Amino acid sequence: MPVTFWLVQALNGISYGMLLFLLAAGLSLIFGLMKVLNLTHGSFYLLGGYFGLAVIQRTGSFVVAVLTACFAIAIIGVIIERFFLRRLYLEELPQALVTFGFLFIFSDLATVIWGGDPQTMPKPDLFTGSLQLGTFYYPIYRLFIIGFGLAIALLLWWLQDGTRIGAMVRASVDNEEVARAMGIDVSLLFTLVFGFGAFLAALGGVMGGPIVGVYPGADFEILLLGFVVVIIGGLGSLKGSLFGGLLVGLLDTFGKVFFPELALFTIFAPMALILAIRPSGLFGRE
Amino acid sequence: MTALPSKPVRSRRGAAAVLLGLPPALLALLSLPYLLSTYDLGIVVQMMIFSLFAMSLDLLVGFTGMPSLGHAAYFGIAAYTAGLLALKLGWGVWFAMPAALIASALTAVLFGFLALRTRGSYFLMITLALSQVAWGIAFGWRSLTGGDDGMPNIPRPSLDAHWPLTDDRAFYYFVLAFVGLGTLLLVRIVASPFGYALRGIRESETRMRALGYDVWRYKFAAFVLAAVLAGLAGCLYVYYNRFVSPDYLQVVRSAEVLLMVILGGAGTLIGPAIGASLIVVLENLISAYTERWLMMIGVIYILVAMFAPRGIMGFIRERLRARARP
Amino acid sequence: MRLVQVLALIGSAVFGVLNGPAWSQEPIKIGVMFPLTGPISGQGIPERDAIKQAFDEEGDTVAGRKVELLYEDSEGRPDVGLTKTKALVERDKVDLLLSELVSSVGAAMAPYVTQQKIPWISTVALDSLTRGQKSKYIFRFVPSTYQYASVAARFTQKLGWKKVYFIGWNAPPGRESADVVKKFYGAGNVLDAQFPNVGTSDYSPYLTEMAAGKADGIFAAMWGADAPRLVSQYADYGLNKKMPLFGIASFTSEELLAHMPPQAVGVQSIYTYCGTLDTPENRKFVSGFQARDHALPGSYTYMGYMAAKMVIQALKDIGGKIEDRDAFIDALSKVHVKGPMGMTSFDSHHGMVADFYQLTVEKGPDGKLQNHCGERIAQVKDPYDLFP
Repeated sequence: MPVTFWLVQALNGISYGMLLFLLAAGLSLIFGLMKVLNLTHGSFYLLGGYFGLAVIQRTGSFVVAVLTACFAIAIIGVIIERFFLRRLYLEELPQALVTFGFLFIFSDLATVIWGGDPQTMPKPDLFTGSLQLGTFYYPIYRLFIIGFGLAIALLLWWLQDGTRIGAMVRASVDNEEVARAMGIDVSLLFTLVFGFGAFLAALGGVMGGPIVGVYPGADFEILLLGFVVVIIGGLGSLKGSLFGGLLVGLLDTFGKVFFPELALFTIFAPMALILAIRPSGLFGRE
Repeated sequence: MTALPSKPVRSRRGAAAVLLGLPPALLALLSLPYLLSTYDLGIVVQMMIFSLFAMSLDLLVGFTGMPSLGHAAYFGIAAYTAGLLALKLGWGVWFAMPAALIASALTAVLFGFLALRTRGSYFLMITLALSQVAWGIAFGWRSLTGGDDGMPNIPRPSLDAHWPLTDDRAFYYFVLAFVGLGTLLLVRIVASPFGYALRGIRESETRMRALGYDVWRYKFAAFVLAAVLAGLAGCLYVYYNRFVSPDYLQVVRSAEVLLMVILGGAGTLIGPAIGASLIVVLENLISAYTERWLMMIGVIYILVAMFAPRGIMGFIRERLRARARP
Repeated sequence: MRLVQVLALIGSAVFGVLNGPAWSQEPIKIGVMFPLTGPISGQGIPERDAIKQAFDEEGDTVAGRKVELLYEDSEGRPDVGLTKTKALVERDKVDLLLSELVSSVGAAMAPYVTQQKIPWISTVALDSLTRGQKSKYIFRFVPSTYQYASVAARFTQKLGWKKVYFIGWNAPPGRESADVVKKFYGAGNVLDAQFPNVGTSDYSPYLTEMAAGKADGIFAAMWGADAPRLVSQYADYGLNKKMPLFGIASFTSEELLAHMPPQAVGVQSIYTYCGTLDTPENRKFVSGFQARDHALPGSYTYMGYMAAKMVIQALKDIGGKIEDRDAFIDALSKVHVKGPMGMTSFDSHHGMVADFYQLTVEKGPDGKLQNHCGERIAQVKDPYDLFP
């Protein structure tokens, strides 16, 4: 196989990994602050995709679609946090029941509204087409996803380490009581972070749409993948989501190249192994 | 995992009520086959099987504080073992079933060594990952398991040459006997010193360790026990349906049984049985009238979580306790 | 126990005499179970609606008897499907089943249906329904995997293909299609056969591998959400400029076509339904379905519609006396119905016999994708001789 073959396969893995990072970042953020394993995350992804698609079909603009979908889903997230999860703080079992309940409801709603057929999201005009690499073609949109994922990672990093609100979140993660005592409105912070997590999931839905598609069942599939990434990387760790995403993306790609018959195991077996060796993931805290 | 404060209401009056209530309940269960149609009887059989499955998970989730999202693995592995032995080697129930339970136990030993290093959400996910590996084997090893289509035509067991269980009533009693045995075993475990040690571990591992308990060994034992009982449920299910497919150990089933436990009330044993029965009935009743049953179940989950966060049985217990206090 | 049965028998006999011939009043009950929720509902719901359409066209009355359709949701899960089938048979006492398209559900249902002696007209592409699990009571109104894959392999060989790639689901329809392709081309000429799981979101590693080699074409055996995704990634990686894609079975069915990217133009397949075929029967079918579901029918819809038509004709042939099951089964195995795509019937194993059409995806006058109807291959049978 020529060198370009390996280069293209590496790019495949990295771009898929970046997509996984977008899915996982919100999940990890919410868990880090609120200790909520948000199962509705899959719905946020799916609804984001459907909203985005509806907007594209009406306006033709990808940017407008991204913004509308993300803010709409963020509002849904805020409502769920304010009126439901708020009252179940630190109670994992009923939290699981609520977030699973919403996953069911949204999944069913989506079939009622958009039907059971798979939908394909068109790519933004700027990024259609493919580049030629030796004898191979490489889709420009995937290169764009790599850049976009990196940009989001940098933005999140800056938000976390370079802004006041990031400092407040970090303080609340470390010690909520102290944060409250310092006058931080932790309750408002929770709502904002949950909304922002939903925003990120919807972003994944719209950006991933042109590659993965929007279809019934995507909510469960994406949720599963998101969990794998977050757990491998370590819950609540931004760095973990990024490296977890890239690791899973590359494992998946090269697993398919070298062990095509074992495609079922290339994600879950390494995950079990990593957890057995490092019980709280690569970058997680005990 | 958050500790669920659920000191059992073990008053003398409660014990008397149980003793008084037991004979009529038993009588009702024994006479059901003569009161119900074959279809309804089949639904009751499913309710019993999933009750046992949910109760076995409750030993982990409710009593030991170990939320597993891979419990269907043991259910499915036992089902496949029993099915394969019956189909390929013609083994009868008295050999196939113990072999299936041993297969579940061995899997749990292996998975336990890997999973018990983690806690809370990580435990949730590593059990999920391990069960996915088991699912992958059932799905991928086509020459043995038949792949996605599974294995049909598994015979109903017969107790001996004179007593085949092809009759629906006979099969009902067979399931009732084993679910009864499994339940009895769970009740005894939960009430034993071992059961109280598990509750102690749920409340605080460090304290139990300080008291000199080998926490890991207790958790390991609970993990394997729960797997064996889940395996029993899986065996009964394969004999009931007379087929097995990878769907038996899919993550959806693991999630379903976990939700049954939470819905009914973790740490109460009877609660998960109620939760399981409720879901089985709803799925079969609602879906005949509306396609939107998924939405209805979602709404029920949310309502229970909001108004009875300890689950149905937890809610009832709190009410009872509130009334007992003057 | 025995006594109860005897009493019940006497009771029903007396009741029957008092009421005269029972079949003149009681409706014919038909159990219609499909996946109505979950990822496969996109095919299950239209198929159910098409069955409804076929009976609506008869005014819900066949041979003077009312027909009652009872619906259930199998969720595409075998144990749920089996329980719901039991509900239809034992609780609702249906006379026959017109149900299901998911193969694992079908495999679980087959022994039960045979044991209960309930006629079951299925649209499950499972080979075993007319082979290992063959039964007098089971009819399969959909081509088997061996049947549709053989047609595809033979047709592409006529196009001059010599060396091929294969990508298909890691599930029986994908695996068995690959077996067929290997049998026709010789294992050595299948340069690579890949089996991604159902629901794989990223095909790029496989596609890159194919882009590195040289073949005359690619076979694709996957459906649902995976088919449009594969087509769009196939175009992204420039493979549409290198080698043609040939879909197996309903790969370019109108239900899926509606959501394929524009680059799907030129993708081919060969199957039982072509939406643009201009026959009076097809026009009636398309306009009827569009009025009902606001979507174009495809092969799944067609299968449900025609399976119902076959049942209707057989019921007419026996004067609506469904109580005589043997007569109904006999009539159904002899039925020939001219439908939107030509004549359809059952072979001696109760497998589907129908015309196939070569389909090429093209851009329609309204800018949307549609199938161009190419060569017609008349009366294709399940190849029992090649694949016993």
